Amino acid sequence: MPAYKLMYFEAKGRAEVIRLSFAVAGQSFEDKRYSIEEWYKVKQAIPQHQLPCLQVDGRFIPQSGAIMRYIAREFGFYGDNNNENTRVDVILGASDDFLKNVMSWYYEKDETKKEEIKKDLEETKLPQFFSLLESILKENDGGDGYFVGKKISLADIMIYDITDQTSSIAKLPAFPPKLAGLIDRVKNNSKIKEYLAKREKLSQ
Amino acid sequence: MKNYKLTYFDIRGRAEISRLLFAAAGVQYADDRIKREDWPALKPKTPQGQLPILTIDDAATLPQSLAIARFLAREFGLSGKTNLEQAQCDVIVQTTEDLRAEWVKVFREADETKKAELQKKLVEEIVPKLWKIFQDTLSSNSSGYMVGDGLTLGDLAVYDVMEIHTRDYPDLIKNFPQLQTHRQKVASIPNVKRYLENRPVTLF
Repeated sequence: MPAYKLMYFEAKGRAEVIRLSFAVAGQSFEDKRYSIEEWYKVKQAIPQHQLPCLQVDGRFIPQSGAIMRYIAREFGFYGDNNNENTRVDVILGASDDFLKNVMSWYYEKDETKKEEIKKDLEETKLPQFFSLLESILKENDGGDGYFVGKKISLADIMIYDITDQTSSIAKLPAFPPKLAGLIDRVKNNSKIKEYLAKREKLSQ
Repeated sequence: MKNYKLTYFDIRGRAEISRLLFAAAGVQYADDRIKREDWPALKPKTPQGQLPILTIDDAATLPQSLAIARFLAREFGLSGKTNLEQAQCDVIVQTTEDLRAEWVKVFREADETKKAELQKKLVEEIVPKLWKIFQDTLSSNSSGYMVGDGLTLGDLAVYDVMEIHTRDYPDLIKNFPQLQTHRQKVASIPNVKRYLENRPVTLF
C-alpha cells in the first residue's frame, strides 16, 4: 500500500477536490498544509515550484488536474470506459472554464472592477454554468443520478467543490432542480458527509 | 471503424493537439475548418457554445479540447500504459495549458503598451520557465520520449505548444538542446512528418 502525501497551503483552493477524492476513495493520506514561510523553504524542491503536489511512492505528481485524475483512476471513480472517462473530462473542462471567472475576481486588485466581476458572476456566469450543468446532468439517467455512469465520480466531486468554494465569494443563484438533487446526493454520500463534518469541526 | 469529424476555426489553436493525434495514429478524420463568419450560426448548435468539437459517427458531439485530446489518446493507445504514465501525460498537458493561458492573456490584451510588457515577460520569463519543465521531464526519462518508452499525448502536446515561440523566437530553443532533439524526433515520425508537410499554414 503506497503512502500518499498531498502538499498544499492551509486552504481549500486547488487541493480540496483532491482531499474530497481521497475521502471518497476511503484512502488515508498525509494532508500536509504549508504556511507561507514553510513553503518558501521547500518550494525549490517541488516540481514546477507550485502547489498542490502529490507525493506517492517517492514520486512527485504536480498539477491539480493530473493529481485528481490519478486518484480517481486509482480508486475507480473516473468512469468505467473511455466514453465515461471523457464525460468526466468534459465536465472538468467546463468547470475549468467557469473557474477562470472566479480567478479573475480573485486576482483583480481594483475594487470597482472586482465588484463588476462579482456582479457578472452572480448575474451571468453562474446562471449560465448552472444551466449548462443541468443539461449535462439530464443526459444521464434523466438527471436523477450522477453526472457519469451509475455512481459518484470525480465530476460530481468537482461540481460540489466548485459550487461550495464559489459560494464564499459570490451569492449563488438557486440550483436548477436536477443539479440541486445532485449536490444533495454528493453531500450525503457517507464518506463525504463524514469528511465534511470533520472539516466543519476544524474550521471552528 | 468510427467516423470522426473535428470542427474548429482555420487555425492550429486548441485543435492542433487532436489533429496531431489523428496524424500520429494514422486515423482518418474530417478536418472541418470553419470560417469566422459562419461561427455565429453554428455556435448555438454546439454543446457549450465553443470550438473545437468532435463529432463521432454523426451522432455524439464532444466539446472541450482537452477532453477530445484525452479521448483520442486513449482510443489510439497514446495516453500512457499505467496510471502513473497517464498521470505524467496529464502533468504535461496541464503544463502546456498553463503556457497557452499565458499566451492567450497577451493575445487578448487590448492596451498596446500593456501588451508589449506582457509579451516581453512571456518570452523572457514564462516561456523559458515552462520549456525548462518540459526539458527536465524529457531528461528524467531515458527513452527520448516524454513519458514511458514511446510516443504519447505528452510528446505531441509539447510539440504543439512550442510551435509558436520556436517559430517567432528561433534563438530561444538554442538554450534547450534536448527539446530541439525531441522536436526533430516527433517531426520525423513518418505519419507526423507527412501531416506537418501538408497541413494549412496559419499564424497561430
